Amino acid sequence: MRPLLLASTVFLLALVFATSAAPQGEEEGADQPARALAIQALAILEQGGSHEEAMAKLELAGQAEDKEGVKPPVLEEAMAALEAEDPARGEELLKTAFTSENIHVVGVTVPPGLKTARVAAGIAGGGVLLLAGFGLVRRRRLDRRAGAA
Amino acid sequence: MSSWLDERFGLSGLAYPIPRHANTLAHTLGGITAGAFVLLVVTGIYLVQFYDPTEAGAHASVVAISQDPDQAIVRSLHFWLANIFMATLFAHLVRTFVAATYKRPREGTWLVGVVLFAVAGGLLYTGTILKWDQEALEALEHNSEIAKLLGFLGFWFSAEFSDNLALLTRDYIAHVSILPFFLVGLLGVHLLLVKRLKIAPLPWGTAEQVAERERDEERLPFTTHLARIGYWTLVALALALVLTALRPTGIGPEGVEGIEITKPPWYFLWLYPFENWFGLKALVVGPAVLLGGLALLPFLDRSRERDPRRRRPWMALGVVVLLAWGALSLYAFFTEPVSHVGGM
Repeated sequence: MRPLLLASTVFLLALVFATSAAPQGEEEGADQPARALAIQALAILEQGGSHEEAMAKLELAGQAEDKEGVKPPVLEEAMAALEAEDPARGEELLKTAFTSENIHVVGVTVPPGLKTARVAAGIAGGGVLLLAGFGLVRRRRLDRRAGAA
Repeated sequence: MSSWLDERFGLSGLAYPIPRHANTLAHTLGGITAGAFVLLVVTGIYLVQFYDPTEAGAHASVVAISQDPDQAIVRSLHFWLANIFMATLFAHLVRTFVAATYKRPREGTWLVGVVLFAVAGGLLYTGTILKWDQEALEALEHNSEIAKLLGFLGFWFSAEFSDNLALLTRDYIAHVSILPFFLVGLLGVHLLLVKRLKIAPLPWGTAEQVAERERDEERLPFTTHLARIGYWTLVALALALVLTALRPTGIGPEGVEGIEITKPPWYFLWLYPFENWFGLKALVVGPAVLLGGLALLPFLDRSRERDPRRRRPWMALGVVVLLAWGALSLYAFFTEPVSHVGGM
């Protein structure tokens, strides 16, 4: 059982290291990726929802740091159309604002505030895996020895 | 120290003999699933200290958790461990099917296992809702629609059932207390039955060969099995840590009611095409057919034969079901999302 205890200790120490190594408040911001917000704005318009609600989403999309998967100028045009109270034109523009065909929200999420901690988690994972592997090999040898005796 | 503990807790009683084959990875899958569940409970206990289970605060609290390094690591571990839990549970079910250990006298163990499978599905479903983003809101809307579809039987799942608590808060209670309570209780019965009926011998060969192998097989103490479960659980933890490092789980935008633009997680994805073709009722009929079929299995496959090579029709059926599951999941993954609850 000794490797099991050792592995658990390594895991706990690594987790403590991970949490202390990552400076609080200096990680990525809490804003949503523009693509997710633009998809929501489009969905609101498609189902006949309030264009103000869609505008709120587009405003956040315009402020987002992560603009991957969208065409920002088209988003701005769509916003202008909504401001001019032309939701049909806004919807039409939004449909062309994405760089990929498959528009859905899965995989479009706020990344957690991890940088250093991710590295520490990876190192801890590798360490625990090594120790667990060592424990399994040792256990196998002990079982074989017990069988032979 | 160990003799002191043994005298007081009778730990040496755990060293009862089990066949050597019980220590193979295939026969440790159930144990790894239980180990992953323990880790889920530990990470879950930590996360509930920071989660706000109200409609007004849930999304913001998960965003806050995602921005704090230690909380985000534990949340990501919880997410990946849940996926590993489901994968090992599924592999355990497939191994049990192939080895036909659901046959007499172990029908009860199998039936309890099927209920455990359903409870695990409930835990994953309720867990998906808790993050209260677009995907979660859509999952909850499905819950409400299904409650309507079930009529009187759906009262428990409807928002109208409780005037004081929102459905999200009740979902939280189900996730952190009701379902784990049932899971632990049923797991106890499952393990008790495994101990009482003993681990099934390997199925290969004729009944005589199986009996002979069972008689001659070397025995090891159960504690060796527990140690292996412990090490494999650590492998699961290591995998979850590595996945956390490579793909930490995030959170989607705050949900907009009445729209449907997400797809379910991989373990529910096979239902998505059925929902597209047959509507919401497929979400009731599909799981009912799956769970009903699994529950009836020991009573349909009644022969004493356990060798998979001599149970070809059943093996073929199993392969067809697995292929269909894979094909449906892939099809759902690549299709455009369709609205089933909103007006889109």
